[in-house]
Amino acid sequence: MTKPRILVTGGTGFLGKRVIPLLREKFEVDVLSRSGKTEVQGDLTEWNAGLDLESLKNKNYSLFLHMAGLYDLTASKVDCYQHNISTMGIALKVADALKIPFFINTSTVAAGINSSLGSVKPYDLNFSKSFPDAYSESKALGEQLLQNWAARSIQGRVNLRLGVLVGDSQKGTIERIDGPYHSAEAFNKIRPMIESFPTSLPLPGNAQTKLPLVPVDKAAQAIVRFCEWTLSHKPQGYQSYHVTPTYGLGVKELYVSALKYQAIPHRGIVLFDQISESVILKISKFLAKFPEEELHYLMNFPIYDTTATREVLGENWCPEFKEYEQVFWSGYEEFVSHR
Amino acid sequence: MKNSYRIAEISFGRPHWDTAYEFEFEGKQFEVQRFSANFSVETVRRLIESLRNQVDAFALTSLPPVIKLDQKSYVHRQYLEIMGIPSPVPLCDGTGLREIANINSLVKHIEAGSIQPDRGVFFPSAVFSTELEEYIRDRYRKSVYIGDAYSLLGVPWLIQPFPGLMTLSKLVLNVANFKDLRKNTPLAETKLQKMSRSSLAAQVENIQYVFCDLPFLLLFDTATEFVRGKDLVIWSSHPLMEAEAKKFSPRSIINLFPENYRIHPYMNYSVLDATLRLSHGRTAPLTIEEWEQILTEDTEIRQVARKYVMTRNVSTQAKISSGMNTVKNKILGQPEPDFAFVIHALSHQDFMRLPILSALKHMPKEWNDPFDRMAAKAPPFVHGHIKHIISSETGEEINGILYALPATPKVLKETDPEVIYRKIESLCYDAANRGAKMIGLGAYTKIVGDQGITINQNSPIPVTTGNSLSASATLWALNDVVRKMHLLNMDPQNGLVDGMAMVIGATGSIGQVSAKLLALVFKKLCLVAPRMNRLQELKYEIQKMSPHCEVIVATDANELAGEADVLVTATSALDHKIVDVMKLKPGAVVCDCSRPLDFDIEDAKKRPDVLIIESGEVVLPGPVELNCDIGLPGNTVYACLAETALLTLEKRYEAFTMGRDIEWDKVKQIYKMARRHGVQLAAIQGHTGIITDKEIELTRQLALSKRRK
Repeated sequence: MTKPRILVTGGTGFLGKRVIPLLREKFEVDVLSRSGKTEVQGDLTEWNAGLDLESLKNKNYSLFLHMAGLYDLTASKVDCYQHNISTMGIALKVADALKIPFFINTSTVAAGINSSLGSVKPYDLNFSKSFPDAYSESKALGEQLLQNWAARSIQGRVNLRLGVLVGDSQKGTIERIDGPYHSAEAFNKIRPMIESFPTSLPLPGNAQTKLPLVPVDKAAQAIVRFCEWTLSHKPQGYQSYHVTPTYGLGVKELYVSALKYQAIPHRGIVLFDQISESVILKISKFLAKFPEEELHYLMNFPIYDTTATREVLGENWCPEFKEYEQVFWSGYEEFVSHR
Repeated sequence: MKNSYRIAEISFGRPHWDTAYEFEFEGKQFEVQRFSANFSVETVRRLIESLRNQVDAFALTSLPPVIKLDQKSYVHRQYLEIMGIPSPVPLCDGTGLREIANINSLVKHIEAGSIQPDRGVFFPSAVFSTELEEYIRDRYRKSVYIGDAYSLLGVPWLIQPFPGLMTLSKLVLNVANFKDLRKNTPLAETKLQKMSRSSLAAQVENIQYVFCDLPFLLLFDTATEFVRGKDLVIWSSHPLMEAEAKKFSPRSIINLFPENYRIHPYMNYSVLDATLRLSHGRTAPLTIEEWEQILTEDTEIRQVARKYVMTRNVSTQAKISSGMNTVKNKILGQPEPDFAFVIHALSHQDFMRLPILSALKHMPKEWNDPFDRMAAKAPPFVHGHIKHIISSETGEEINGILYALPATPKVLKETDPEVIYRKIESLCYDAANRGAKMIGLGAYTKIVGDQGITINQNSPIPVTTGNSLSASATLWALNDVVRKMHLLNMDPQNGLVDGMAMVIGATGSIGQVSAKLLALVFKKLCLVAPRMNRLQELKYEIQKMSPHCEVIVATDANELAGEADVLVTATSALDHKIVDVMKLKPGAVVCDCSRPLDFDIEDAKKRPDVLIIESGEVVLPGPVELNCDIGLPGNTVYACLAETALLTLEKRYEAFTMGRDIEWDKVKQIYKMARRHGVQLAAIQGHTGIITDKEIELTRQLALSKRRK
């Protein structure tokens, strides 16, 4: 049997590089990118992505996997809007024009960061409260656009809200410092202070927050699995899923683990979030150079509901942090030593 | 002729309902995709910049409103920023079209009894649809309820029109203009607003109609309770948005968007504006009169609608001052002006032309800038008169009045366009009161903001930018210079010039006009523009018009620039050098129609053997008497001034040239008018001022010696 042909965007990024080889095992993959090195050349900021739609029509793609986007908490509004909203519209239009029946989009848990709900469902979006940054707002608006898209030939639109991607579960390799890795960076900056601190160390966060960390290889496998599932189950309309671990990592556990692997002695940790968040962010930035936008997420992640995801991927698709803690930090060490 | 078009609809609002669709209209294919900027002007700019070379028109929706109250316009700062973004294709926002079509439909609905305003009409935001609000207020004053205080300011009271409302609104608008639009929408939920929701719903209980277009209505999110059980009146079609609005259970939805133009389920006035412009081959905005002709046959409704569309109705105050001026002119023996024209100081030196300010010469140089800024605060004034313009065809005599803004281009660029608009609008009223029938905009006053469109809408008399004659005079000057250079030969058999002309930026509005003109006289024509497919279309069009001309196309000017005898550049908003001046052929004549200029003084100095001209100026027919200094020798006037005079001579009181686009048809028309009435080409402007015959001869000698080498 011939493999189904799929069209993929964002195949050259941190995640894309992991996903593409896995996809190629199951599908005929055409990667759309601006570089001349992939199967299809196009630019999602242009009208119809700059593609010759007529010539692509007879390729009979069965799925459009849209992974392209801008992932940068500090990017400007204009860039975020262009790369996460406008390009979504263009990708959807192209998929419609090429009569591709299924569209999978990778979004992020940041789209639900400002939720006021105890447990966030994958469909929940909250536009009545402001977003912490242009990135999360643009991702949320992109999801809304995908949800409301008046599809002409797309039958099913699947949205995958990926958790915070960390190094893979085999080697822990990373390409840049973001998310949880900042805690280790910060601790190293204030190492003498922690070592000489007389009592338990007060650190920002609260006990309820769980960090939705996902090793990048697991996320890639999940995406491939979702592609297969989409083609076999043919979901109709709009569906959204949280690609996050069932429980997630407590903030305190992260701190303890970071201190342990950095070999920084301490007399215990107490979490505090009683004083105003903006003050906490400022202090952490001043003392330990912890980026404010990253710490905000660390302190505010809601609980992401994964019931639906587990029905598709199985109960144990994503390891919890404890299971890959060691490679997680060795990957970090590796990155730091080559910096 | 082209038969498929792309329209990028850019909404200033939220991206929730972005979509893409296609339709056919008058045998042509249209492809539309909607993008939204979520209230960010910068995002609109980015979208326009990344798509402007790939689409045929932009349809702008959910823009900050242009509000007209009491003969004054309140243009939102963000509206001007958006409309001022450089684009080679038209930016269509449906202004004019919307007002006429809405009033039309409303009148029909009221006649048919499907809308009965006496049962109460609620405008959640009247400023977004002033024409409808005014129309109903004039007839059913008691039944109008305005929610602007709630929706824009968060104050939970409905307002009913009262005598002081206008004054109050004006005050509020002045404040609102400084705020980001997003903070002016129901999106900005203050605690007070949240508390007041129930109060608002209670206040509208006995009102039957809610007038609110879909995009604005949906900004209220869950606070849309006030439409429950009401008849909702909207004026755009968007099935998804309509489905969303239905969730709030209105009793019915009445759409004012004209049914015969609901070409596709998704339609709004901006997309229709773009569609109609493209299908009629128009790039410049249509005037109110043109929209009327397209939209309604019923002249009675036209008259009614017109009252609410533009402020061309004369107020009592205006009538009184006009009468007083007539009497004053009779006593002083001053002729009544037939047209008016606005100029401004082109540089600091211009202030010294005024006799009372000649002492300025002794002022230290570093005081110049502060002085210019101070001077700009002074009100505009009557600079002088231009008398005895007599048509050589009809013998009719007309007179003009010249106004001056004491502001240099530098200061004008720094100033908020809104302020300049107010000043020019006040001049329009003054001119109308003095009896002028139309007004022209000179120099930088016509490139402020949306290039005259808003000024025209708010002026009691038609406004023209004069750009059609400017374009034609520039090419006229080019022709003149080429003749004087004597470097090119004419083929005696077919009358064509034996040489190559090149148009850079050929697909733009001035570029197309120049290319078509040059094709009539040159044997070989090279068209340069960034997009090949557009070039091919233009090439085909030109070859049909002038089959004797050999047309070649290129995307890079430098390749063939060395072969061109004549170059016309009309590029827009590009920051890099389009063509290297060193590559030009000795003796080439360059006509720089780009603003900002493509070639600077440095370029001109590097190549003394190349003639770079900027524009052509003209003399008007008759024993013209100009009693003020406008910076040109003798009786020479700017071509744009001449256009205003010519239109007055022709009694064509209309906004002839408007916006950034110049149309081939109009350039031809005005050139014919100019020839008919005896306008002559007088002077050719270069980078450093008027180019004399001596300079042309010098350039010719240099070119010849260089060619011999």
